[in-house]
Amino acid sequence: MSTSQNSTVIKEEIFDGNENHINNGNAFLVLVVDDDNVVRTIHKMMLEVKGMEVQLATNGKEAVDLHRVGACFNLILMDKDMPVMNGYQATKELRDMGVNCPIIGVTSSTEEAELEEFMEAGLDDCICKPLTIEKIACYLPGVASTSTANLGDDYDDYEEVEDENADRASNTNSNNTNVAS
Amino acid sequence: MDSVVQLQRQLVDYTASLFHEGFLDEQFNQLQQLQDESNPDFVVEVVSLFFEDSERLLNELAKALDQQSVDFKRIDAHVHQLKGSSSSIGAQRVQKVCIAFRNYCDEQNTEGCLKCLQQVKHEYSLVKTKLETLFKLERQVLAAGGSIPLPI
Repeated sequence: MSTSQNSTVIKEEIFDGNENHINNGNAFLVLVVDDDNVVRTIHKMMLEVKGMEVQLATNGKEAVDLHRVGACFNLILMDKDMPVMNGYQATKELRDMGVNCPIIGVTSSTEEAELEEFMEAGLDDCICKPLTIEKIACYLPGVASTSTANLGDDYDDYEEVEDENADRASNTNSNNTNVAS
Repeated sequence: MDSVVQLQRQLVDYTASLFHEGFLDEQFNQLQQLQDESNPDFVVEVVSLFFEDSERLLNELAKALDQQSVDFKRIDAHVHQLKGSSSSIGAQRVQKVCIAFRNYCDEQNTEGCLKCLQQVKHEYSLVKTKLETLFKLERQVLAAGGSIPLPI
């Protein structure tokens, strides 16, 4: 099995324990982690209409377990307050595992102290619900934010994300293991 | 054709009133924009999920506030969840009551929480009725051979 030049995408197809396809290696793959069914459904659709492939997890432990079996994502949207394992714990654990992709906290909380604490777990950004594509446009390939319109090549956004991931990978020892399907 | 146009106008006016009266906010528009030919029932499906989850949460809240020893942390968790899902579908008035509700949880004020529970039940019931009417109007437009006007 080989990893691509893209440090966060594994080309090998990987399945979870329920035979659900985790990663096809070609699409921009987003992991949405939220215990609320309504929120998961909406966020999934928002991303899919923009051409992203979406995987869902209902709590932080599921998100961590996916990575333990070798899944990789280009972006993780992490809810803060979840049962079993919350977003803070999950983010910390993912970073300790060497997961380098952008992790964006998505929370209903508006308390600055809570948001700051959540950021300290290792988030790249933290946004308040409701989620809009606008708020995460800079993390998605080919999606220009209308508030800071990028008049250049649509591919530039993805390249920026890629460069950032490569920088993070070279500065951090990764201990991701790839599991044969 | 006239009847289709009339129904469409009724639908547009009714939708506008829901925004004007604060029942719905911009987030509902976002949901409508996600709906297309490949997902023609997306909004109805998501709102139905919201109704199921909300009713479950409201029942849990009523039980929790009926206990001898009130678990404010548990109540806060339920209200937090209701706040999150209501904001995600644009149910603005429900979301606002949840904010006040959480403040009473912080203060461990049982009376305040009970008052908020009544308010949130009331707002939920109102928005549920309004949305069901909206979806009924949409079905009438479609049944008459018209299309649903896109949100601006």
